[in-house]
Amino acid sequence: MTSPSNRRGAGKQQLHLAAHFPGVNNTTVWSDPESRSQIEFRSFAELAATAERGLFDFFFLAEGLRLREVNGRIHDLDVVGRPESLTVLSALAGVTERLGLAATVNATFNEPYELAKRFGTLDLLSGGRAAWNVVTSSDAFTGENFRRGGYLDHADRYTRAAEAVRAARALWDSPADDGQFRFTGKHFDISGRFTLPELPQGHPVVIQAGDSAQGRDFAAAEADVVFTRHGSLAAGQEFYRDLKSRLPGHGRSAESLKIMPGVSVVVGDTDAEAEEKAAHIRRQQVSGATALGLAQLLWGIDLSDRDPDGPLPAEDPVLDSAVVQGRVRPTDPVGTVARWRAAAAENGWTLRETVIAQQNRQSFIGSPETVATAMDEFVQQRAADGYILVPHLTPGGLDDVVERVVPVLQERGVFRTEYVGSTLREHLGLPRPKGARSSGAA
Amino acid sequence: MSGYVVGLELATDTANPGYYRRVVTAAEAAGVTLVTLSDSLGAPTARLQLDAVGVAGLLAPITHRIGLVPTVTTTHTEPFHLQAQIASIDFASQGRAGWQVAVSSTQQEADQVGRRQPAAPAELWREAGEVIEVSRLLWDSWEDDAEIRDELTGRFIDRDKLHYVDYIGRSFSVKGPSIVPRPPQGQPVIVLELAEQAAAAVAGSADVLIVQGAVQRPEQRPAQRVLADLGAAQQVSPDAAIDLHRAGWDGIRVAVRDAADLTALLDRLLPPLRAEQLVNPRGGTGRTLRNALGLPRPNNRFAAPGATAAGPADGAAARRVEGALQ
Repeated sequence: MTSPSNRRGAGKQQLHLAAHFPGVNNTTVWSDPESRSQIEFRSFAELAATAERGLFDFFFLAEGLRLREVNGRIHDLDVVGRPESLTVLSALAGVTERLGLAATVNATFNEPYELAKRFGTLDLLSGGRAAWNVVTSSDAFTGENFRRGGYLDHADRYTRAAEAVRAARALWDSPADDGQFRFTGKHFDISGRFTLPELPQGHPVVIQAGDSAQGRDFAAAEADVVFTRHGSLAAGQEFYRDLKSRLPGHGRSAESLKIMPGVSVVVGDTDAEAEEKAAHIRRQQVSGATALGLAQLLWGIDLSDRDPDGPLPAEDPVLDSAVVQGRVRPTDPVGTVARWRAAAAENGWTLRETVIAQQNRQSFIGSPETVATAMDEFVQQRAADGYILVPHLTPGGLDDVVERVVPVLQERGVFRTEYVGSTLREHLGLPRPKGARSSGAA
Repeated sequence: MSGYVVGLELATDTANPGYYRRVVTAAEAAGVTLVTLSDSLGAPTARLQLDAVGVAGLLAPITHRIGLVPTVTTTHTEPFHLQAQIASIDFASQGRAGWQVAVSSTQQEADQVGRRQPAAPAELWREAGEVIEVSRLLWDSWEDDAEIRDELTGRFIDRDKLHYVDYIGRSFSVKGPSIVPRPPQGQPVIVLELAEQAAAAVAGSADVLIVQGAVQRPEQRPAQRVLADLGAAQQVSPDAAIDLHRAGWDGIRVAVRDAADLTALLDRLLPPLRAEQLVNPRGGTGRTLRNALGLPRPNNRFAAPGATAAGPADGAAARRVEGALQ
């Protein structure tokens, strides 16, 4: 693994980068004149081509299983609707060469046999570029679209997810000659014959998203990549230390798990210009209607008759509310409302202005040099191994990063100047799984 | 005007993506109308079997005229996922997706998924009929013009143009709407192979019927196509294909299992059909599979005259309308 960039960046941690297709929340700005279709394949192909031009590790798709609702009606203010992740990635496999292809697929509403076959097929068709972001759901709301229906409690979600991954691995590891497998656990008791040959990666890359204690245990046991929240340098370092310290207990090295926070980047010619752009984007992301919607999510009461350019609601938040479905509520509504009130009083903000200030998800803002320096610092200071970049525009939202920031990172010797390997495991520097039925283990 | 339909049956029994690319692009260039990709949850004989939806996805952006029809089974799968996958192929191929319906009847398949015991064919096909119905409802659960991007009101969609399907079948229920907007064809093409007697129970709800051998042409409703399944391409004579056309069949399907079959299809079978102007490989760039089959793009049943906006009642009304049409 020697490349010119590694020599120049001798001794430095190398960054890993991924591109998140803009999702169905208000980070994605659909009202911008440059915003294009969220559903046509061309948008996916263009963003993937941009990511591959930037030598990114992988392209990432989220999943939706039920449209979000507010007051019993479909939420209409953000992007709604998307194609099915694995199908889109299979199509991208035909028009990309090296880019990893990561699909979010729920372990609650899918069975291991199908998951193993579908991800295995993607790994074969893409020459070893598949990744599975394992997520779980417990809500009866989503379950209404599925045979399984119903409800799993929080703890059961993770045991089912971990078991689904282990069951899929048992299938991927089934003997090459006859494919016979058997897996018995608390959630699954399956046996039969798997019909795929040895996968190029042995096992597709497993991604886990979520910061809870159970999520961390699951990640330490099963994940190759953790998709986490981006915060302060200190918070990132704490999370990084905690997670990596859990790995030896599972017989794993620190390098075998990559920690990649989700971040948004705004690039300008100068830092001042970037700040202006960022402020403009924040206003686009939070229309008056969206401000009311987000306040409603926090307060748990119907606010549709309020003025977003007026004051914050005077009521106390309702803790056990069904006003909003299919979205995660802030964990501490009472404390969050108190903070919002204090910030609004101090700055003289309206409801919309408060929401805009509190919603700030822009992680890195500045000139290409400023952004590259900040991104690099988190990695050199062991707060991250890289980033999953979440653009606000489809499909051009990463053009600036690829054209302007990546060259600076390359110049500093912390990002590849060409793809060295052909599989996603090789891009990420991940070992081949031990159990894989391969003869060609690296 | 649609021509004579030539379908290609391809097994997903190689892990080499280049194979699918080569065979299907060559077939497309020679005038083949659609390719069905066989798959199952069991594979009693084939050692190697890829996910057919994945293979169809791979082919979607690298082909331009040929219909892509993966087999997806209905017994152990989730109807909501199934319809979303087919709709997503329709988007990736700009309107060339179909779905070949199949069921899983063996103990082996049941054990591999581990959720239900196998059932009798009549019961499996009855349920397949429900999966077809709920898929059609979900494909219609967004009206074509539901996305409005109205900056004035801040609304991305007009939610009155999205519909709960509220489908309650005997073994499953689905609330809806689909997570995927209405696909380019409105309704992707549903293909049914009448390989076993019990499958005839859902023949009325398929767009294309495939009959094994060229025996008796089944009863055909308007806007439905019937193809004769003729087996391996090297065993099919061009004269037989032309005779079937004269006898009123809408087309044929032949299997390509090896290089000799592909050569037979490209060099022996298709040239006479082109000479008779039954197939036209240059016709129809940018056309949908429905166009190629001469099938109209269906109206959205939720937007049909008389239907009112959103609400659980719409689903029931639409199902009654569909029942009356069959």
